[in-house]
Amino acid sequence: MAEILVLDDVLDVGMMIRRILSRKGHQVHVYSDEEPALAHVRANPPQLAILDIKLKKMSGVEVLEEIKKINPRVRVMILTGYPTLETAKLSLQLGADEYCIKPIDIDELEEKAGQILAKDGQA
Amino acid sequence: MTLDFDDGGGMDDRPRLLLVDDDPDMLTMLARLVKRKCDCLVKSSSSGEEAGELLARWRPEVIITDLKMPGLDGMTLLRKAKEINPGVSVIVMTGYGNVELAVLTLKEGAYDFIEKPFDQERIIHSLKRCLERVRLLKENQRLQQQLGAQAAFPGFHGNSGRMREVFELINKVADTDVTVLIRGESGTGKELAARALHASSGRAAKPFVAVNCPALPAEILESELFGYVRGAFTGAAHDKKGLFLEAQGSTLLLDEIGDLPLSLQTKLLRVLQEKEIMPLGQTKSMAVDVRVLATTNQDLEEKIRRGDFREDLFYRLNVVPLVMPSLQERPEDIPLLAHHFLEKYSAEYGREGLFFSEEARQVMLRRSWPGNVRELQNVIKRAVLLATSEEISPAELGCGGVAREECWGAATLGQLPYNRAKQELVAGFSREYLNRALQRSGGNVTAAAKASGLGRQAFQRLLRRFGRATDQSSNGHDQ
Repeated sequence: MAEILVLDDVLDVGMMIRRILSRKGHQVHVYSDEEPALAHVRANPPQLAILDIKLKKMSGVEVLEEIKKINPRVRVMILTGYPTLETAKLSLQLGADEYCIKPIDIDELEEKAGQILAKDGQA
Repeated sequence: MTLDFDDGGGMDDRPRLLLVDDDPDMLTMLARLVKRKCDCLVKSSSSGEEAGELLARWRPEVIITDLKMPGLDGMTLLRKAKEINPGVSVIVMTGYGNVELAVLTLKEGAYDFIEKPFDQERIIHSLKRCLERVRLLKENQRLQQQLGAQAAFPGFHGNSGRMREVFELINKVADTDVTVLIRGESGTGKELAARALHASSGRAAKPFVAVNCPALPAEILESELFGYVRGAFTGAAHDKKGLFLEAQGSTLLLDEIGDLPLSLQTKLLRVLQEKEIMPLGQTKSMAVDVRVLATTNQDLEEKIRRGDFREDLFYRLNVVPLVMPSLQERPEDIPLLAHHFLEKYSAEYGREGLFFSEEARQVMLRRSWPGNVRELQNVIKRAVLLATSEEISPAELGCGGVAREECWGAATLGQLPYNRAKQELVAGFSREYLNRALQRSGGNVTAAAKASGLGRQAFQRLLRRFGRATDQSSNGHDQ
């Protein structure tokens, strides 16, 4: 049971992720705008944030950096449809736990999220 | 140290770089390029197996390896290298680059992932950063060894001449009953010194008792120290054992003795002379065997001149004066202390593998530390919490560091929004200015205000706003 935040500029994608991860008993908060998502992190740091890279105003990598500034213990999974070597490297250097590529299948998403949460002793 | 079999043997302490690629042309090109551009020892290997053997024998610190090789491939080599030496930096090259592969390699701990064909500048840039990392890690290791070697007293770290004098004096007077007056600026570790004196004395088995003099009003402090019997005054429902009796057979620390009210100074003097106390409401005095230590950051001589402190008590306390040096007087200890706090808080907050960037080291050495070791400790604690990557930058060392002109060179201010940057700069400047003015005037606010062309009240207002932010003397700390 964990608190998970999802930020994707396409709300439907976020809803889909919520449906998948809620089945595992997690509390999933979905956002399609950067600011409210960051405000949520400030007020209630989740255990895991799943971030798209192509967002409306900022890039997911910038959001990752901001989240780590707010609270370095928030774990981050990047989930992007436009993978590049540069953003992959940068994300991992900035402390992302995973860099995954869309489309991702349900099993992989569950597995990766589970692995990340297990690092903090929460499945 | 084991002797290496070539390339300067064990005496050459340049970093060892291992190049691995099954393509001999690539190896030659890389070796030539690296030798021209970087100062390091280089070995080349054209197979993963051979490279794998070199890991243990030659202990390379940086490895540049191809990913796809017959037999033992780059990924296996990377895992093996990390197993043998977790600090090794590995740059992985591949002609079959894709993002999944890059993510996998980086998650296995590779330092960088480079696609072939690559730009020469690109690989040299990455290699130079690797070598810098190796240098910093070695520096860390050296400091770690120093820390381990000198556990002179718990909590104390320092190799400077001034600290050695302090250790020597503590050793010399610890196991005596002599009264010690510990002086020093705020945050220099006066209470720690007192604890060290107690811990190295024959009284160590009994609990150390400390009382912070300004924390309590005079009447309460009196009954705290000397105790009272039931009925001594309204509300005295039980006998109260004072701190002197609590500390029977042990050590009593009077923290911030400069703030002890005059009436109590007289009583304390009598206790020190007669070695007996008389609890309030008691007619018979009781013998006490207590070693008294006192600390102060105030100018007691000045207080004596003004009649706020008894001269005879001063001489009673000041049998052995122990002066804790300020951080400014022992700058050579800053790297060691910084490293110690980094280790301590990394472990506490579960943030392993952090290290200071070169600029951050320079900033720590150059900025002033009016709050001394405690300030350094707080700044590093904050940096550990805020660090966004393994490398701690000057910006993460807080506003005081950012505001220094040196930081403009590191361009950290330029990364902040304008208003934030301006605030940080002004705060840092003001703190620095005020503290320097105070230093020049010997702590006299009126004189410092006059010299700064400010009214006394304006000066104090600024001081409250920017001034000694870390000057909270009741904080527990170690150094």
